[in-house]
Amino acid sequence: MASQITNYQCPSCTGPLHYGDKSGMLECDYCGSRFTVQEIEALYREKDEAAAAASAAAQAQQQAEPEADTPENWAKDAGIRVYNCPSCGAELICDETTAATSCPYCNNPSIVPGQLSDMLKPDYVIPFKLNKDDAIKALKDYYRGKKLLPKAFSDKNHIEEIKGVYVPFWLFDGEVDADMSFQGTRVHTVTTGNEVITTTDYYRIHRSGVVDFDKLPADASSKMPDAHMDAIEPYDYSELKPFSNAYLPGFMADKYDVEPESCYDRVDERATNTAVEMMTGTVSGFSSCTPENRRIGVRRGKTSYALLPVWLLATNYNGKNYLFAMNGQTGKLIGDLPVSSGRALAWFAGIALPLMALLTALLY
Amino acid sequence: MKKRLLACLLLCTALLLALPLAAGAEAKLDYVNDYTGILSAETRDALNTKAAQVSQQYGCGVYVVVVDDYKGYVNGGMENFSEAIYKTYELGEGEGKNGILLSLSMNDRDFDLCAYGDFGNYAFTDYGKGQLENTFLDNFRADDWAGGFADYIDNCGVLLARAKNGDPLDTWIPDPAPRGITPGEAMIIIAVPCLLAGAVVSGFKRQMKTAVKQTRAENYISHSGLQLSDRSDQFINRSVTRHPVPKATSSGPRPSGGHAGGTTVNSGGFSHHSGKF
Repeated sequence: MASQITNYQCPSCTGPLHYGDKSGMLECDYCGSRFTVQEIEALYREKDEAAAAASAAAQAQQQAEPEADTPENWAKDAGIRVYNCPSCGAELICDETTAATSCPYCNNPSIVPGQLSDMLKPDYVIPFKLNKDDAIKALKDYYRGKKLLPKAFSDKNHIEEIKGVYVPFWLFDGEVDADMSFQGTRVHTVTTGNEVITTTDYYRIHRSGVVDFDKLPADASSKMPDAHMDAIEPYDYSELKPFSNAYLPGFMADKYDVEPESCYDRVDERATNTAVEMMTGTVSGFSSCTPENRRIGVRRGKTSYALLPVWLLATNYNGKNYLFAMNGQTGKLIGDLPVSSGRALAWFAGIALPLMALLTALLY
Repeated sequence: MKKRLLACLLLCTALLLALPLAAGAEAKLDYVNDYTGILSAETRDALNTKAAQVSQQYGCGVYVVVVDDYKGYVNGGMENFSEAIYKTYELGEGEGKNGILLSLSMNDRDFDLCAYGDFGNYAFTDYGKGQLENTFLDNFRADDWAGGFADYIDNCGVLLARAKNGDPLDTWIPDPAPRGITPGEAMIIIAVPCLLAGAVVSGFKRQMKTAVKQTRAENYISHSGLQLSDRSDQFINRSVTRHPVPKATSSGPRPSGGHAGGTTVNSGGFSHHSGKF
């Protein structure tokens, strides 16, 4: 039976291949050979198709057979999949959404083509442009200038885990129809003799129009915190490429486990807020402008499925986990940091007490 | 009603004009004028001579008028009486009509010191008039009229001499003594720095939390952007309000810690210091 997993191996020396973020090619860790994505795609097309077919067959068999009391079925019930590494034969225990990983024994990058084929195949991918070293440097830079960061956190803290992950995203096209009315005033004040004359003109302002949105993203992985994924936006879509498994070796990847419908509220809210802001921004030349009525409608268009590159850095401080995410394309890094109460108090006292002394001297 | 008022005014003017006639003088007052007989003729002449000397030396008339009861001449108070006398008899020296008049009303033992003119008001400050009255009130209270008037004239000379030298007798009124901090001020002293410090520390704290959900989508607007299908600003109505211009409050520079007493001059150009003797 064909393996459900594919190892991308060097055609020259059979060493493991990984996608080079700087070169944009697949590189061999052993002989240093480089291959274009298209070359590897052509070489592994048959292998990937066989692995996808094996994966589909395995699923069909599991559905057809009654639930046997086997370790495989226990794992399935727990949302876990068990594969065999084609390189060393070791068992790979993965989440049911895992699409790309590395063998913990031989470190060979392993792809599960069945997770990203047919209906589950992403439309686009943005390849990694930044590597692990860039992520570590970005995190150190991120610590700088943070006045309330505990010294021990930046001095002694070590990154416990760092991994490059292709995170599944839904990219929504759509448009927002907005019809809004406002009450506006223009106020003129003239002083004549001993009188101040204030003239107020009242206007009814009406705006109606459409705002088109392209590829508004929402992460499609329940494992990824929404706030982290939102905060590392935006990605440069000019580098979107048609999806290929050949971009995945060397990184982790998940297939989506959040349906597009579950993202509608988030996406609609963002689009609506922006459309309202733009519409309001066209009202100018008034002393005041008060919204009166608005009718907003969202029309959804095409939804695309894409894998976008994210570096995840995890650390632990005082028994609490801290997760940082870096955009693997632009390098934007975000994450919540611990706050030193002592430093916060010192800053508070350092500002408040001298000001109190100054005010006392001025008033007394 | 108007006729009664007019009649009253005419009567008062006639009475005022009758003052020197009653004394058998011309329609012009001397420096010292006693219509009650508290001064002998010699004493009055001597005082008049002394007052004339001081007046001419400094270009500022020093006058005395003594009546039994000022209420028989004018409506209003003692100050009105002094001003009416001063104006009716065109008292004062030079074009500025500078001068000071001491009026005594014997029945109620009222007195009024009334200064007029730029130099008169400059020389006889509020504080100066207060010091001046101290020099004659003790005499008057002992019915030493001649002594009181003599002191008055002499000290008018002293005050005028100081004013001539650019140093009129005036006082420095210090600000009220430093006071304690009120509860309202204490609130400001505590609350304002705490709010500012809190705002700064909150800003620092916000830097520590960057994993936040997006609420906008401006990065994903297509090239066509916003396409407006209707854009209208329709005039509805107009309202006009009128308010009087707020009066500006004077806020000239003052020396720190207090202010000069100066002279309080009324709209008629007179300054007064009144009381009982």
